[in-house]
Amino acid sequence: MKKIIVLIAILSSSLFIGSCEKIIDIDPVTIIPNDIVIESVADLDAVRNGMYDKMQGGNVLGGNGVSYAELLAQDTQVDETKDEVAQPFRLLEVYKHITSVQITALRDMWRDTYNAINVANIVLSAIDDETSSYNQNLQKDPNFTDQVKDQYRGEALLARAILHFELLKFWSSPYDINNAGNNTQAGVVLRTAPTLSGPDGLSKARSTVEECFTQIIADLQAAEQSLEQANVPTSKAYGSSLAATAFLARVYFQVGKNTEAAAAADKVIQSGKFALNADVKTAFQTKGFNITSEVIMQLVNLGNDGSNALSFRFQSNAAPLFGCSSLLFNTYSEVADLRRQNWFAEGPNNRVLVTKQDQIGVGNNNLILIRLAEMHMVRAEANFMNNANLDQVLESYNAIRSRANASTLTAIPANNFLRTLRSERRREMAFEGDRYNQIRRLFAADIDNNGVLDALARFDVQGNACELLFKIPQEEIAGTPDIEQNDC
Amino acid sequence: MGNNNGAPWTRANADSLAALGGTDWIDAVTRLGSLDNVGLSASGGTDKTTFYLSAGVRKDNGFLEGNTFQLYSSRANVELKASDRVKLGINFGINFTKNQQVPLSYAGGFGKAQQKLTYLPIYANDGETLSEPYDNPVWQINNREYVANIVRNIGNIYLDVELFKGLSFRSEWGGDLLNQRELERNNRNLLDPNSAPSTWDRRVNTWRWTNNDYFTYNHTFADIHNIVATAGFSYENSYTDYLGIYGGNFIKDNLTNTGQSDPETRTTYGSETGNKFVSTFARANYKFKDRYLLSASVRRDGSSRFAENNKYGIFPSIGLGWIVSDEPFFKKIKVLSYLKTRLTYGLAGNANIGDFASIGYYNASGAYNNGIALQPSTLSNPNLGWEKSEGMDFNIDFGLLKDRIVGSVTLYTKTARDLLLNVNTPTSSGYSFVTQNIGKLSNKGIEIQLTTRNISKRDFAWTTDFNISFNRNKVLDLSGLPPDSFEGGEAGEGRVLVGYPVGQAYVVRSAGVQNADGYYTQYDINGNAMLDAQGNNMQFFVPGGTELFYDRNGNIMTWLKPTGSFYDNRVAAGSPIPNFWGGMTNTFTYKGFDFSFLFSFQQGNTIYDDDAKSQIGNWRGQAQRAEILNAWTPENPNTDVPRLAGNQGYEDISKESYVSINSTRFLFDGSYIRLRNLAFGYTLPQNILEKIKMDKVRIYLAATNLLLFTKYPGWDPEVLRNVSPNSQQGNVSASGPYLPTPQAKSVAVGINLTF
Repeated sequence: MKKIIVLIAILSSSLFIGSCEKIIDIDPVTIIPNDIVIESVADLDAVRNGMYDKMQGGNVLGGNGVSYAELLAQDTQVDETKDEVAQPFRLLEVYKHITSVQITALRDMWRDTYNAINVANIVLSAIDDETSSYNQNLQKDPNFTDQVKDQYRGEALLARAILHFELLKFWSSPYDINNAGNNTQAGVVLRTAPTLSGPDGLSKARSTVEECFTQIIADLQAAEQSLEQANVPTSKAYGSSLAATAFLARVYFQVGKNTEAAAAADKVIQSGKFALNADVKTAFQTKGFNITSEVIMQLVNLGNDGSNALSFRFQSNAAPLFGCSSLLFNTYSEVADLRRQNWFAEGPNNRVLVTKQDQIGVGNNNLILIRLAEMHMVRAEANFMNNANLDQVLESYNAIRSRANASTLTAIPANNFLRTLRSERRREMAFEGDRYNQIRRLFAADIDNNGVLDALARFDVQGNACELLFKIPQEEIAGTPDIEQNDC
Repeated sequence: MGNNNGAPWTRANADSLAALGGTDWIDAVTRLGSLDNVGLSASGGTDKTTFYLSAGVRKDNGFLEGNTFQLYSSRANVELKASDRVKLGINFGINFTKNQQVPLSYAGGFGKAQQKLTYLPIYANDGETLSEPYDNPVWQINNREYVANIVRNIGNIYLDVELFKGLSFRSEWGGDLLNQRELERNNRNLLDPNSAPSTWDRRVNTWRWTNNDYFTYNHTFADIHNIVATAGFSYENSYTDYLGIYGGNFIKDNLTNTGQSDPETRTTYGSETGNKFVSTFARANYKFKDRYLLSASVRRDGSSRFAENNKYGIFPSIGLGWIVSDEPFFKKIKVLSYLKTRLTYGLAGNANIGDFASIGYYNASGAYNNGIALQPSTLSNPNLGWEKSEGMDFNIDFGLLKDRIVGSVTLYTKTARDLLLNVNTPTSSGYSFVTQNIGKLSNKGIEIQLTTRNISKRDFAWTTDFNISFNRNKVLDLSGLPPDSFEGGEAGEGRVLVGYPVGQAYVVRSAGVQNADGYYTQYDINGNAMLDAQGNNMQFFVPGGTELFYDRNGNIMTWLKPTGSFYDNRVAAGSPIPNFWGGMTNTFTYKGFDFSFLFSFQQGNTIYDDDAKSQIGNWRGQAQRAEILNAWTPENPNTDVPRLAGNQGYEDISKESYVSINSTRFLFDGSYIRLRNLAFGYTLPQNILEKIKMDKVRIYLAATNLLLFTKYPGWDPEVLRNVSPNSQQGNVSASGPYLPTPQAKSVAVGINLTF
């Protein structure tokens, strides 16, 4: 009996003592609490990988954005009998320019893109914000050199610019070149600081289109400079100084800064780091570490890690949802044009299928973010519009044409050459999401009076039409007082 | 829609398929179920030792083809009296369940069968291969296996010591170990020469241990003061780990273990989580003269789930009771045989959230270019703490006419505040939600229970049990957050609105269908007619067959021409909770025979029939309900089903596609009366039992859900949305079922034997 009483006394006293506050502390095993995430440069590197991993997502740069842009631009032919498009609130609505708040895929695209931006902002604050605990941790790591800072800062700025630009493409009215400097229409929510804790201070209003482009251009310029300073030879799977220059060419061109656009494109072309591939197809069908010389930057898909919604939607041997509109196909008027031969195939019922980005074998194709051909198209058109460097105009035009085994020119024709250039761009950049940018830039499809050259008559709304814009997702509207919706 | 090998469907295709006779898909995925249940138990003991042993086997072949549930259970309880003052005991149980499941709702199976077009055949023209395999619920049943094996061990030991008269100490130590293995197998697809079998093997281990130690003091002073006081400590620690392995490209169909899969395809994922709870508590019950009762308690609870400074909460309660019928003066009131009243007030805490809901954290589950990736996953909320609910109950128990009528009436009111809710965040923040303490919710109600022994003769008895509940649930405050802020469903299903119950349907009001081409005035959201440049009322054209809605102010609008933003015109409609619900059981016994039936009922709630939205619309590729035959046509202008080409109101029909719009059109009355149980039994008389040396033998026939009376057009007014009922999503979207599986109707025959 005594023994038992002693035992109980020990048990109970130890337990009552044990009931101090700490007894319910718990150590997470498979999650990483915010405060211990970045303690060294190796951790910073992993967070940077997190940024690229998010960018690689299907809803971000993994192909959905390109698909939606092609649907909006109506270069696609849609198999309306397919379940996925036939059901309401899905892709058929994008194709018909009747989008709504309800399209889950579009809400996910908004969310996932901002997730990636948040990671970019975390990297940036860890590098430069001395008040952040991440930065204080990194200061203690001898590997946290200026070169490392420049490299990672540049990559994160480049990523943030690319992502904001993608969002603007779908959720804001286009930049009105004729009203340059004064584009006060609603842009997107600009996120330039990281978010790690809530619930207060999570909402932010939309900035104007002008403010958005100012931020994007500033980010790209800073990225270009920072990466140039770092001077680290990097794989095309990550941001590089010339990738930032190439994106600057794309963005300058979008806002009508033709001189700057042509100069940036020329810088990339003249760098000698890139060359058009001999053939027109391999650039789009690499996997893993294979990167062709034409590519300026791409996201790498390895084995199970990666996504590519394009091969899923267009895959020519699997009765795809999307084919090529016959209007577009007919503009490849020369039978010898390698693009006509290599990028398309005839499907059942006279359907033209797109083979350009077909997946061959197991695993997703890499995702091209920007390539040299676009630089040629920018350099040619921007210079031509400025009536400057006309030798470069012809050189770039012929470079694209001759690579495709299409006829070239010895001199710039007197008439209609601007249309010729735009038409060539449409062909060269087909199904890469580019045409929708051009429609937004020009405010309208460039309709040929005869319906022959561009055969654009199908496109029945103006490039700045509100019907084209995706609706700001419901969650964003609900959580943000007075935020402006894209109401038509 | 079927995939016609990439080619568009033609009338000829459809006719040739229809010639095969069509398919009753519901019939193809259901069967007559069966249930076998055998149980044995024994108990006994000596002065020093008592024991209870039981074992059981249950096999339930459900009415869904491919659904089988098996349970093998055993249990042993042993108690040992070590001395007059010391008791030791052990309770131990092992269960093994094997659950073979088929997919449901949107995932396939019975849900898919509801959507499947009836003219499509199960088998292709050759009569052997299945048509449209991935989309075919019969293919799924034949080629996919989904089995969960669960072993669960629950055991606890205890020690009970009487330290001295009136004071005892008890210490309980318990463990609960659950091992689950889920095997998901996809067989080789015979139609696809490149396909190979694949397996998902998922393992879950949950390990939970508990400890309770408390002193109890029980003493009666001067014969009239009785006090029972308890004070102690309890602790709970639970831990779960998951591991999933995927393997594909099995070389042989009979290989299912991921170890034999193609290593190139093999992937794993895993996670671990845990939580701890601790409480110190004290409780005292004081009884004066056996009829005046006073109880008071206070507990301090702590949970690992909350933020650093809010882990602990203090929760007191107090209660008063009076057994009126024990008063001397009461003996004179002959009608009332028993009367007791009770009033309690208390505060309680709730910690029903994710284990790491308050910590902001990153995951290391991604990768890029062969490098490990860290990504932010959840927002931290450094203020997260206990949800508190304050409640008051008033209760009367009574007996009338020598307890021929007994019953109880309870009135209660409960107000919960600092609710633990996942609040949607603007997703541009990089996150989808944050767990917050927010808002205030009230629950009030009356519950009445009555048992009457109508006839009580030696050979014949008739007893009626009746219960009815009136509950009112109302959101009182949401800190100004709008209805779409709470995780739940898509627009039109449940929402959280101040002044309404949780899960309130929030939809636009349907105004029927435009019967002929016409014009309406365009209004703004404030109810003013909009003016054109000339100052005239702005008109819009509405073609016949367009679906019409009322805007917020009662003016007509369409999807194409809404008043302001379409969704700004939503209103609270119907009610997710009934005015009242309850049940009545009547039991008759005559000699050895017994007969009973239970009717249950509810009245006044509405159900958002989420599949009606797509099945009374023009969704190609999905079976439609008969109402679709009543769709608008110029010849059939007076209908509430819009034209099939589209309901949006485009003048240019090529722009039209059918949009499913959440509106009151799909909100239905969920009231019902149901014959839930019916049982008929016969118990062998004593003289026969003695001859066969048995204590009791009863043979019975029991049936469930035989009859249902309701106006609800869906399958079953009691079936909720197919989401976890304990989750926030379950609470918010429960009354908007989607492709649900109804409850089974069953008839069982059985025998109970007691030795």
